[in-house]
Amino acid sequence: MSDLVEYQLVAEVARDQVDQIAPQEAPIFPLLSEAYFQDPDKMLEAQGKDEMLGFGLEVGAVLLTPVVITVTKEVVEFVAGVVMTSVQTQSSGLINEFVKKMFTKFRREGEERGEKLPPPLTREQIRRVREIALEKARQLELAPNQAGLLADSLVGSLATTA
Amino acid sequence: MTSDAHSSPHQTRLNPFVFPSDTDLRFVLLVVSVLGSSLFVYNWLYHDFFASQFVDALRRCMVSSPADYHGPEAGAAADPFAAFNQTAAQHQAIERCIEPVERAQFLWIICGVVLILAVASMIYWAIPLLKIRRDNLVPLTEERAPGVGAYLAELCHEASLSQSPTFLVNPLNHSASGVAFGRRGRRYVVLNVGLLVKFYADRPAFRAVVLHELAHLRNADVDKTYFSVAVGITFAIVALGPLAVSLIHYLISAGDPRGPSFVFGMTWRVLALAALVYLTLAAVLRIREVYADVRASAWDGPSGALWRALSTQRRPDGGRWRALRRFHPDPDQRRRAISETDGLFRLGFWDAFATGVTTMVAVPMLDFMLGLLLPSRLELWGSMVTALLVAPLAVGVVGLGAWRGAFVALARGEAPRGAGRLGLGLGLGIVGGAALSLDAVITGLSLEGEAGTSSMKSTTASLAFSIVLAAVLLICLFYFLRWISAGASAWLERITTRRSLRLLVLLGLITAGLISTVWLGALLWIFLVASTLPLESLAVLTTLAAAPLTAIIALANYLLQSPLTFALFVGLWMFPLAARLGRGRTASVSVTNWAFLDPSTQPLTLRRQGRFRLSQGLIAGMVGGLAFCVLLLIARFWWHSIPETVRSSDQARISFFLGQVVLAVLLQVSTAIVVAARVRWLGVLHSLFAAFVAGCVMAVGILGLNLAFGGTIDPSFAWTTFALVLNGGALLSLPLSGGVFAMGSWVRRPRPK
Repeated sequence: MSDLVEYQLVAEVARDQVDQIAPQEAPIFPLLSEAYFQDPDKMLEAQGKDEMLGFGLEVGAVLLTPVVITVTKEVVEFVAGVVMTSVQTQSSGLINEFVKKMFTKFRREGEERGEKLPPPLTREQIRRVREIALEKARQLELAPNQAGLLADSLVGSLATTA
Repeated sequence: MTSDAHSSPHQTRLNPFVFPSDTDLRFVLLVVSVLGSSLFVYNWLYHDFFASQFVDALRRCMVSSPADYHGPEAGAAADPFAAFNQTAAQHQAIERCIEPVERAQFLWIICGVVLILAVASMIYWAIPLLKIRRDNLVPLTEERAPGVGAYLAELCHEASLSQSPTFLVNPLNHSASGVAFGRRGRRYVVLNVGLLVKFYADRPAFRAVVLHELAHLRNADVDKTYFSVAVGITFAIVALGPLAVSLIHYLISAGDPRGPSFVFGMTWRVLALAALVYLTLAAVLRIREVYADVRASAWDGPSGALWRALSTQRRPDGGRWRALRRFHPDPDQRRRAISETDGLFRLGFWDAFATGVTTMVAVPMLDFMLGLLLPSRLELWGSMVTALLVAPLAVGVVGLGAWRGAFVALARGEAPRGAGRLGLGLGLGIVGGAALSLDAVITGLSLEGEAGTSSMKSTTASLAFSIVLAAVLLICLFYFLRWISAGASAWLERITTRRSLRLLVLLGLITAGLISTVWLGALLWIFLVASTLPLESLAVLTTLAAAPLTAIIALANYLLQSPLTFALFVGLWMFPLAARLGRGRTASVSVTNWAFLDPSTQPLTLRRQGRFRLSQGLIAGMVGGLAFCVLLLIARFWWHSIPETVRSSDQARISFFLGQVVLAVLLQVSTAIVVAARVRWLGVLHSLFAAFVAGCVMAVGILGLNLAFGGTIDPSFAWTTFALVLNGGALLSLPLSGGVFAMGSWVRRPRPK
């Protein structure tokens, strides 16, 4: 997948997750995702520290958007791997389209237009997606309940066999 | 509204913005301390770079000047001033010779200070650009944060900002915080993404933080803050850095056995000065936050979201010393300031102390610079001019604290207290600053270099002199600040508008500044001379000490006939008692909104301290004066009964004249004591007024009776008579009536039943 396409796809998918688990961050999602894709590490390492000449209160909030984007990115990369093994084509444009169609939101549009669609994820692959999401969220020190919520939300956004 | 906010003992919060803030005062101290220290550093660097040229020039001048003075000769004790004059003449000859070198030195040092200011200005100018680039700040747009821009415009309007700042976003800072920064004409407010989230999740919290940042703009503290930071950085890089390199170079290459001792003396003083600059900078940054909180709370309410946000904060770890190093105040302190603003009116002891230290850090170098600039014949005036420039500054800063303290005390129905403590703080700071001054290490080295017992004696004499002077300074400042507070109390009852308050404070500080120019300026000058006199002059001092009567008479004669002494004593009673004029109109002062931070219908009533007793002072003075005239008339008749041959000698005439003056002084003191014992409020000042009235009548009596009994009057004689009688009377009346008044107050004090 090209970076640009991946960024766009990740941003679109992550946006839905943010709506679900951190709705207060949704209005500034474009701002946060723009900063994230410029320098993901910096965004993830950013602290709630106050500056020398700042307000002087540590009323920092843990922003979920960077975590959500990172986890979503991991999931998209896994899905892209699945698509590449199941679809016998070298065309990156087609692969991008197929990856996109693995998410319910975009798959429905393809179904309506009668496009050729890749097979949905199996139960096993879905379980793997959930594991990947939980693992990454844990690495990023997301609270367990929020990590579970995010993993479920991501799984829910993917097309499955049953 | 939380219970803590309601626990305040006062219903309405006083408006601290009616007076200049502590941010302004501390900023002034920071700049003065940095500039004073920088003058020294660049002087030292001049000597490091151009030592050989300077020494050669000095040698040439020493050779071409008259013979050196080697201490008092046998006959010198009889006329110590001759020895002094001889030393001064030789000193002036060398100074004249070395003037071109000194001009070059002056230019070098000025260039150094200009460099400091230029670099500081550049840093101040560049900070906004650097900050925007370093923090990846992006403009706030509707796409990035929908709805925020319109709301911010409303807040800017609410904050009454003449020009709205540019709002930026820091996407890499997740704290719910913001920063106001920028330079003149280009202000920015950064909103961290954590704060933007609050806009959607907790609007009151967002509003409170933004109002706090806008309050920095409204308080006009952004320039001061960033210039302070720039000055601090510049001082470290452009002054301390080169100084450290130069000292190491000196230590390695000078080969002077006193090198390590000198470098040690310099190092601890430089570290202490750097600490002073750092602590002053931290103090500027802390206090601006408190003022911004208070301003924001005027829009947000004393128990609004800002107060709630502060309530959730825990106290930072560490004790008092750690708190002094922090750039943010303790959340408890911030909450207290919001709930009750009275604390912002009272200047602290350590602020007064820092003012004193800063004053004495700057004084020696200002004096030195004027010495380089002025022709040698005017060099002595340079010291006086320095002291005169700095004394009103010191009194202005601490005197303003006394005014603010008096205002808040009277508004709360209390008697003003603590002004004397400020005076002590200022005095101790001046004494400490004299020891801390980098110039002192040079003087110490020069004294140390003169081996032998004469040096030891001179050092001991100098130390004893300094201790006496310090004691005099402390006592004078203690009472002077109490006088400022008393004057403020008298005048504050007349205020009706914010404008009248500002005018009165300005008038009061100008008066205090002028008066302090006379006495504090003279004391600082003596301090300066005592610490920088060359060894020969100390020997002259020792000679003067050996002839104390001559010295005391000369000094007393100078003081008693000086118009400045006259102005000082008249100013002491005239300024506070002049508040009596028009007082009938303003028995209790009612003012409205400007005095309070929040809209209030409650009038401000300042506590009435007591009643003026000007008529009592006037009558007592007249009676004392007329009694003197009657006694003088009798004395005149007695004098005329003495044979002409006896009374026509110069000695007899002088004795008779001095006898009249002494009698006049004693009667003035008696009058003053009676008034001090009777008047309960501003008793000492009323007693000085009574002594003045009595003295005027007495002086007219002396001159009139002299004329009536065949004498003559010329302007010089008339002035001498007036000055001796009035200044002498006031000089003695002040301590004695002060003692009587203090005793009376102690006797009358309320006792527990």
